[in-house]
Amino acid sequence: MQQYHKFWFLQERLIFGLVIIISLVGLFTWFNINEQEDPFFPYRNGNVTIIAPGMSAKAIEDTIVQPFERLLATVDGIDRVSSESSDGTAIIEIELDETIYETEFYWQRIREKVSEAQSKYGHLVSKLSLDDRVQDTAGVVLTIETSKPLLEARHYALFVRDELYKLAAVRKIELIGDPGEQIDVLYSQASMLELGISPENIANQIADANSLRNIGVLKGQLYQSNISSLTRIDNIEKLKAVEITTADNKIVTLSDIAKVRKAPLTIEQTSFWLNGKKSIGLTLVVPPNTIRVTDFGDALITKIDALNQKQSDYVIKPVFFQPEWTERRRNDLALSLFYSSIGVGLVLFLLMSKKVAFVVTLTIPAIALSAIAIFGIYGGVLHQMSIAGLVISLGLMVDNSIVMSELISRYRQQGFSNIAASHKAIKELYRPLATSTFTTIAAFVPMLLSEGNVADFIRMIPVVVIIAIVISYLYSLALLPAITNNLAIFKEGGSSTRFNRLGEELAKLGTRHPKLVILLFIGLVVLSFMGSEQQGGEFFPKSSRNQAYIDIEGSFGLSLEASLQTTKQVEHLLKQNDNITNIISFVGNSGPSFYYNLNPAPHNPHVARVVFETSSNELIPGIVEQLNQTFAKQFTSTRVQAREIGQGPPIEAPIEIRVLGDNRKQLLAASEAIFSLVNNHHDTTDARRGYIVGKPTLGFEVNELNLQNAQIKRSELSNMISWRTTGINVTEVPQERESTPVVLRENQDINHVDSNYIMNTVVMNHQGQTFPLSLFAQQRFTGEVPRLMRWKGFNSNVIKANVKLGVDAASVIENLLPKLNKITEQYQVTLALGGEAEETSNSNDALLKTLPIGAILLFSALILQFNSFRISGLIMLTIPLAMIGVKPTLAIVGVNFGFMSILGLLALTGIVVNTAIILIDTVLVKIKEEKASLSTAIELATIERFRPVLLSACTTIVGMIPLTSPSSPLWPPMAWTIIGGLITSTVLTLIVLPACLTLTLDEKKIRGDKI
Amino acid sequence: MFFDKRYTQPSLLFYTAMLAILLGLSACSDDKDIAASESRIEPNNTQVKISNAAAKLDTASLEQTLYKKAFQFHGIVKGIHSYNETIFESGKIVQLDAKEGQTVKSGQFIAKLYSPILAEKLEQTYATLKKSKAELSLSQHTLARNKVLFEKKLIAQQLLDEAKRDNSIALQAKNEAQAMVAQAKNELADTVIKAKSDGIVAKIYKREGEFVSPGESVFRFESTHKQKVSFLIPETTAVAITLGEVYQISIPSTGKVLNAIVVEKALPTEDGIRQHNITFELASSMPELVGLRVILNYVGTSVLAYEVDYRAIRYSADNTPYIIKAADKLSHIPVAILAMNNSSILITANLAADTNILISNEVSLPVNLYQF
Repeated sequence: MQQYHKFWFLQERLIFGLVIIISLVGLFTWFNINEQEDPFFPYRNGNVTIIAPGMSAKAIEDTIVQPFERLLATVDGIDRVSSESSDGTAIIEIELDETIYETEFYWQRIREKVSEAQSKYGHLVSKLSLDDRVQDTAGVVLTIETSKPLLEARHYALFVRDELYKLAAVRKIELIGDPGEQIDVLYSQASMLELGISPENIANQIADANSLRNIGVLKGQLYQSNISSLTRIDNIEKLKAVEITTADNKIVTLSDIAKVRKAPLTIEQTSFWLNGKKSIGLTLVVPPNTIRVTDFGDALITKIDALNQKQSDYVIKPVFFQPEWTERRRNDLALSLFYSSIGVGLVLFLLMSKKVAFVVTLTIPAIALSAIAIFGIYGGVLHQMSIAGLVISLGLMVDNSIVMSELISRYRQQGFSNIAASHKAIKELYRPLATSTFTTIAAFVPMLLSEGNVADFIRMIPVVVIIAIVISYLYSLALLPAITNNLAIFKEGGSSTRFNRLGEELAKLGTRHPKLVILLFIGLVVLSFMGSEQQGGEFFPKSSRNQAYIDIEGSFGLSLEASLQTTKQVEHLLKQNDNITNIISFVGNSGPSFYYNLNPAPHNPHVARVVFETSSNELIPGIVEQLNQTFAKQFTSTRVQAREIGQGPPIEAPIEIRVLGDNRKQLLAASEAIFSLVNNHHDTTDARRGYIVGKPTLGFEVNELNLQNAQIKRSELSNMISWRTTGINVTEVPQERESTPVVLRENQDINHVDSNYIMNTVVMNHQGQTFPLSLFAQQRFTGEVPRLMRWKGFNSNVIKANVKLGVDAASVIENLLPKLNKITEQYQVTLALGGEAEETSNSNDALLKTLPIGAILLFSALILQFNSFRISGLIMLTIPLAMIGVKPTLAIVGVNFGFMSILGLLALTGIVVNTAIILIDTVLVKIKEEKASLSTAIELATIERFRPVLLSACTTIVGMIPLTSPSSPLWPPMAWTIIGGLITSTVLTLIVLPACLTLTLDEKKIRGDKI
Repeated sequence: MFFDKRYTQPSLLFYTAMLAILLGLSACSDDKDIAASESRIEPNNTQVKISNAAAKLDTASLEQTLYKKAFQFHGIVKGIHSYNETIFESGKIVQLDAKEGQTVKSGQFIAKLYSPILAEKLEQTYATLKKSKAELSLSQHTLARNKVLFEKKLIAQQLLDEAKRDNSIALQAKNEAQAMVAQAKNELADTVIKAKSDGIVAKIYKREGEFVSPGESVFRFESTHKQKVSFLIPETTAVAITLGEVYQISIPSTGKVLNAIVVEKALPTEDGIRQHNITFELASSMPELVGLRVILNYVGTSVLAYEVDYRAIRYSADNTPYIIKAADKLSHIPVAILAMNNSSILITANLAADTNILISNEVSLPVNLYQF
C-alpha cells in the first residue's frame, strides 16, 4: 500500500481551515472593500486655464498659448497638447501618454512649466492655472430647493458646501447654477456730469480705502500688538461709508453718490434648472479607488438629513447620486453571480450524480470568496468590471473541479479507494489541468498587460479571472480531493451511459470519416469569415443608466437667455412624455461630469445640456430616437441632439476628423471640403463644424492725438467703456465665506448695452473736463474668429458627426479615406482621426501589442505539456472552431460586434483549447498506458471526456446567461460571443479534433515518445 | 463508407453538416455599398441650390428701417447773459439780500460790500476838492484885483496874464478834484451790487462777512429773459451744424424735449482738442431750466438700413461680412454693419425689403463657407 499520508490533500484540517478562513475573509472583503461604480482612469488629462481680459483669441494664441506650447515641449510623456482660445480666455488641454501610470511625476514637471509661464505672463493674465484632476467624476449632484431668492440660496449653498467638506472622503465641491455675487457700485453718467468725479477717480478712491496697508505694530517692552489697518473694508456697510472727495474738494460718502448693493454677477454665466425651476446646486467629487462609495453615500445622506432638519427654508436633495448607482450595479452583478451559481449548480445536478454535483457546487462559493479575498488583500476595488470578472470566471472556475471530480468518481467506480482514486486522479490531471489553467490565463494576459484607456477600463476582468482560475486549480487539487476523501460513496450517475453513447457517436463520426469532416470544417471556417460583414454599431455599448442627455448648441455669440429659450422648448417637449421622470438642465455649460463617460464642454453661453431620467433604462433608446426625429423638425437653427450615455472612454462623437495645418485659410478650405464630404455621406447624421469662421465684434479706431491732448490714457478710455458695460473691478471685500468683488458700473440694464449706448459714453479726464467718446474712438465691426484651436502644434479645425443606427463609424471613415486623402494633398493639410476610429484603433493596438505575449504563453504551455508542435498546432486549430459560432450568434440575437465581443473572443481562446487539451491528453494516456490503438484511443477518450467537456461548456454557458440580459448593454456582446463560440467549438471539437488526430497522429511514435 | 447501411438514415454526420452549413449561411449578409454619394452641393461662388436637407433651414425676414447715427452731447442751461459778478477793489460783504436760485428784478439790491480803502479815498478826494476850491477862490480874487490894477496902469500886462493863468489852473484843479470825487463816489457806489437785469442769482460764491479780492466772483448771475446752452462738439460733427438751424435738446431730469437755435459757433482752438463751442438759444424762454443738464441729441445723416437677426451675420475667410439670402437658391449677399442694437443688427445691403435670410446655425450649415 502506498504511503499516502505525505500527500497534501490529506492535510484535511489544514485545507478546510484555510479555505474557511480565506472564504470568511472574502465575505468580509465583499462588504468592506473599496468600491465604486466604474473603473478609474489614471489622471492623464489636465487643463491649463488662461484668463486674459481684453485679449482677443488671436492675441492670446500668439502671445501666450504658442509660447506655452513650446515650454511644454520639453516635458516628456505628453502625448498631446491642444488648445482652444476665445476672447479673453484659453484652455490648453494636456494629455499624457496612454502608457503612463505614474502620472504625478509628469504633472509635477508640467506644474513647473506653468509656474514659469505665470512669471512670464503674469502681467497679461488674471489667471493661469493647472487642473490635473479634470477627469474627476462629480458623481453626486445635490440641489437646494427653496422659495427664497437665488442669492440667498447661494449663501446657504456655500454653508452646505463647507459643512460637506467636513466629510473626510470629499475631495472637491463646486456650486452649479451659481449666479455669483458681487457688490455693485452703481454710479451713473448723469451723476458723473453733475458731480464732476470720473468713475476712475471713484474706483481709485475705493481701492485706496481697501489697500490693506500695514501700519505697523504697537510695541512695548513686554507686549506686542498689531494695529488694525486703516485701509481695510471688510463689509458692505464700510464700503458704503467710504469717503469720496468731490471735484470741489467736498467730502461725501459713497452711498450719497452711488447705489451700493449686493447683486449677482453682471453677466450670468450659467444656470441650473430642475424640473423647470431655477435652482442652485452642488457637485461633489470623491477620490477614486480609495473609498467605499456606498458607505460614503450613507454618510452623505445622514449629513444631508441633519442639515435639512436644522432649518425649514431649504431642502437639500440629491439629483444624481452615484452611490446609489454603485450599489445597484453591484447588486445587479451580484445577483447575476448568484443566478449563475444557481444555474451552474442546476446543470451539475442534472448532468452529474447528486453527490458529485454537490461536491463541485460546494467549491463554487469557496473559490469565489477566496478570489474576492485575494483581490481585496492586494488592494482591488470593487466595480462593475471586477464583479463582471467574477461572473465570467464562474463558468471557468468549476471546470477544474468538474474534470477532477469526474475522474475521481470514475476511479471510485472502478474500485479504487477514496485516497487512491484521489491520488491517481491528481497524478493524472495535475499537469493537463495546469496546462488548461495556464492556457486560459494566457488568453487573458493580453488584456492584463495592454496599456491605455480602454485597457484600464477592462483591466480588472483579467485580474479577477486569473485569480479565480488559479484558486480553482489549487482547490481542485486540494479541496476537492479532501472533500471526496470523506465521502463513502462517490460515483458517477446513470446518465453516464447516455453520455457515453453520444460520445461514442461523435467520436466515430470523426475517426471514421476524417477527411470529410475536415473538409466540412474548412468550408465552415471559410464561410464564416467570408459570409458576414461586421454587424454595424458602436464599438462601445451604451450604459445601463436610465438617463440620457440632450446637447443644445446655438449660433456662437448667442446669449444665455437665448439658450435658455431653446432649453425651455426642449423641456416642454420632454414633459409631454409620461415616461420621463426628471428633467435637469444646465444652461451656459454642459453641466458636471456626473458620469465618467461624459465629456465636459467649455463654458459658453450658447450651449446647454438637458439631462432626463426615465422610469426604465430600456425606454432610453426609443425615447432618444424619437426625440431626435422631433428635434430635426422643430429646431432648424439650433443644434439639438439627444444621446444615450455611453461606456468606455469618453467620445465626443463617433466620427471626429481633425484637420491640421499652418495656414488658416488653407485649413478652412480643407475643412469645408471635408465637412461637405461628411455631411453628404448617407450614413452620417448631425455633421457639424467645431470651428467658426467669424462673428461680429465691436472694435474701435482710436484717435491718439485727441487722447493725448485731452490727457487721457488708453487704459482710462478702456475703463470708461468697461464702466458702461460690465463694470470696473475695483477691489474685493470679504464676506462670510468668500471674497466678493466690488464692481463699479453705470446703472444701465446690461441687456440694453448696444453699440449706440457705448458710443454715447462721456469721457472725463483728471481735470474734470468731459468729452464725448466719439472724439477719441470710432466704432468699427470686424469679423474676428471668436475661437481658435490648435492640436499638437498645428492650427486645427475639427469636424464631427454621428452615424446612423446600425452603422459602424470605422467603416464610414474607411469609405471616406480616399477622398479625404485627396483633400489633404490639395490643401497641404494633414488629418488626425478621433472619435470611435481613434479609440477603436487605440484599443485594438493596445491588444495587438500584447497579443504575442498571450500567444507565446499559450504556445509555451502546450509545448511544455505535449512537447509536440503537431499537437500544439492541433489544439490551436480549435480556436477557429469557436470563431464559426460567434458572428451567427450575434446576428441572431441582434447584438453589435464591438470591443466587448473582442474581449469575449480573447476569453474564448483560452476556454476552447481546454477541451482539446483534455481530449488529446486522454488519447495519449490511452495509447501509452493502455496500449490502445489510435482510433480506439480517440474513441475512448471522446467517450470518456464527453461528459466533462459538455459539463464545462454548459456551466460556462449558463454562467454567461445572466450577462445576456439587455438591462445592461455592456455585457451581452461578450456573453453572446462566449456562448456562441463555446457551442460551436464544443460540438465541433468533439467531431473535428478526432478527425484531425486520426489523420495526423502515429501511435508508434506516441508509444516511442516521439509525437 | 458513405453507403454503409448504418448511414441510410440521416446520420449524425448529415445533421452536423446541415447544421454547419446553416450556421455558415446565417452569417452571410449582403455587402453594403457605403460609397459616399456625390456632393449635392454644386459649388458656385455665390449661389447654391437648396437640397432637401437645406429646405429645413431656418429663415427670417428683414425689417427695413432708417439708421440715424445719433450722438449725445451734454451741456448746462444758462441765461442768455450769464456772468460772474466781481468788484474792482477788495472789500467785505456787509449785506447780502439774495439767495441762490432767487429770481431778481432789474435794479434790485443784491449785496453790499464795505471797502475802507474806498471810503478813505472818497474822503481824500473831498479834501482835495476843498483845497482846489479854496485855491480857485484865491486865484479868482487875485485876478479881479489885478484887472483893477491893470486898468489903473499900476501893474504890467504880464502880471495880469499870470493871474489869468493861475485862475485857469485853479479851475482845472478844482474840476479834477471834482472828477476824483465823482470817481471815488462811483467806486464806493460799486460796492452796492444791484441786478443789472431780470435774472437769477444762480450761485453765490461769497457770503456775508466774507472778504472779496479784486476780480473775485461774488455770485453768478443768469439773466432770465432768454436761455442758452453751449456744447463742445467734435469737429467731425460740428462741420454739419450751421447757424440758425434748429435742433432738439432733451432734459433728463424732466423728460422734456425742446427746440433750440444755433446762435453761435466758435472756432476750435489752434492747439488741443478740435472741438467747437456751439451755443444754442432756447426757442422759448424757460427760466426754470437754468442750471439743469440737457442733452443735445444730434442725429447725423440717415441711411436706409435693415434690422437682421444676429444669427444671420456671417463672415467670409477674408473677414468681410455677409448674409445668406434664402430663395430657391442660397445667395451670398455682402453687407456692411452699422450698429448692434439691443435685439438686432443694423446693416446696409443691396436687398429688397421682403428678402428671407438664413439664420441657421453655422456649425451645420450645408454650404461650403470657404467658397460661398
